[in-house]
Amino acid sequence: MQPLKPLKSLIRFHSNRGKAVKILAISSSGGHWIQLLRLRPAFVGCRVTYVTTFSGADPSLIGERSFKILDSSKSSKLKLLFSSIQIFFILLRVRPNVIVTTGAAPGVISLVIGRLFGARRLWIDSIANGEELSLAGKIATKHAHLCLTQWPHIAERSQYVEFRGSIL
Amino acid sequence: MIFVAVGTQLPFDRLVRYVDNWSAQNEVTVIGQIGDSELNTQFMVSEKFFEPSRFRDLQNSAEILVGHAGIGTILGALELQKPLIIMPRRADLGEHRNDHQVATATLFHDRPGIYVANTEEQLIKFLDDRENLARSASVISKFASRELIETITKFIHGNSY
Repeated sequence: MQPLKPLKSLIRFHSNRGKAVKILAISSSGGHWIQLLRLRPAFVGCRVTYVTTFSGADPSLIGERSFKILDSSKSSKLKLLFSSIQIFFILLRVRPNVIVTTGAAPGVISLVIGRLFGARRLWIDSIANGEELSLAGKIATKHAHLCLTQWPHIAERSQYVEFRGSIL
Repeated sequence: MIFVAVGTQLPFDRLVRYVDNWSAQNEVTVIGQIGDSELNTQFMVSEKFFEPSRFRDLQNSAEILVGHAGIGTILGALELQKPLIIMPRRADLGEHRNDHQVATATLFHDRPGIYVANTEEQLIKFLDDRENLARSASVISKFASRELIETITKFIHGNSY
């Protein structure tokens, strides 16, 4: 991984003083969301806040804190701006120690803004991107501490992305 | 019963029409979630959307699943151990923004339990052969691979990963 240049946190990062790690788990709806949910064993013992772009009541999320944001993609700058504002306020409220995202645009936005909050940042590119890293994933390599692909041959071609298994 | 689902974002009338045509010639219950579409199916029962729990019930009671080549659709079928016939949406037909479903279908076409139909003929062939499809369904766990879970766990807790 390329070393990230340290950015002075504009918002003070508060340590948890021994309490459970706070995670923001964020993704778009559909396949990205299904993949995010398959990562849940890694969140055991942590306080997780879920953020996604639909409010369909997922029974497995009963009792978990969650927020819904506007769906956005590169096709609408206005929507990207609006979701960025929503994500900023969620980060301000939650102050996560770690941000985990399976993409797409809202995920990379959360990494860029999450940098200001001093969160540790992880990107997992969708299993659907079997030929090269997604566009959002390429941007994420500059803003994540660890950027993962789910296909070994993609990791072999790049020093910025690693393969550590898949969601299957 | 055969359950067809096209996802929640865009309709996929081409697939729905193919399945409806097949239903005309076959004595099987076919239920479809057709999305934001104005199509009136003649032989299959269809709704635009189902509530998540009803949707899950339909998936569970189906003999085989039919859908677009979306990751959610594919993982859903693998988790439920149901054979799945997928037809990728094509950008040139206005079915999606790009052809990533075509790529997704290629990634999964060798996987037991997943059958890729690019044409109506191929779809009909799989539907006619559905009893044999049922026998090849594979099993996957509800969660990601152990390696990925371990990597993420170490990352979360600030240990070297």
